[in-house]
Amino acid sequence: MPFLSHLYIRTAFLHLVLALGLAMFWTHPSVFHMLTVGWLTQLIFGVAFWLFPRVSREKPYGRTWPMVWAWGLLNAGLVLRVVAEPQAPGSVWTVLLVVAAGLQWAASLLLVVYFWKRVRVK
Amino acid sequence: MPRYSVLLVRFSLVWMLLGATFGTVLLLTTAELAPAWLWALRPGHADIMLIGFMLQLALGVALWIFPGSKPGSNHSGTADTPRRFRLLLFLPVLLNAGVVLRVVGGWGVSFAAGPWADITRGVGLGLVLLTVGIAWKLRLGTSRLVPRHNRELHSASNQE
Repeated sequence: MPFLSHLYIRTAFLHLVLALGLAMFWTHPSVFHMLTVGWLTQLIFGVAFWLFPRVSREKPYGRTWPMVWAWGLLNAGLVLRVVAEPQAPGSVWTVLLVVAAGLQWAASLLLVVYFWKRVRVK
Repeated sequence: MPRYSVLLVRFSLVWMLLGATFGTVLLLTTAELAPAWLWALRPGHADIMLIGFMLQLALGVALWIFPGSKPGSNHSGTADTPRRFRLLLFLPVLLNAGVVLRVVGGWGVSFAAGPWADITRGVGLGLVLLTVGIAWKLRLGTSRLVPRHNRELHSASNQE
């Protein structure tokens, strides 16, 4: 299993544990998103990176920088969201929530850019 | 990866980006930086992410990777008969029409636009279920989902 799959899948399980732990005493949309984005989506893309058709024999996973950046942006955005969303609206929290939204959207764009090339007729 | 799986997975990626855009707008609404009526995007956001992205991706990958129904057929789609290939190629059209109807209906429900919004959402769900049903009938339900050692035993007994 390539390192990036390992990273995505391990982080996904971390989000699962955290979300289930939080859900015991706190029900909020951000906890639900820790499950759907932090766990499910990251697990999906971690496995897809490993499983989808290889780009070439020399570079089986192609250029992987969008995946690396997407991991950082997605997790930073999600953590920021969990912290800021319950407090918003408020001067600082509003700014943090907007940043969180932007980071998650950018991560989605990078994932689409990367996987578009990996998915092809073979 | 066969063409119908490529279509399903690529459509799912497009829906994911659109769903993330809806989610961004909803967060801006939470932050009171966008008008409150944009909360009407919420049902569409859920439908896009759960059906357009996750279900469609799962279906595309399953149709690609599940083993074929006949011994010796591979999972790359080359074992499809022309008729079955054409039917499978129709699945992305059916599923995405269903998602579009769900999203449009969800928008209508948020504005309490009468029974038409609910009917549209219902028809959308019907198309999604029809897609899953056809995929099940053509490939998923007839896949040889048996452990490897059972398959080897089966082929050994066939050779005898």
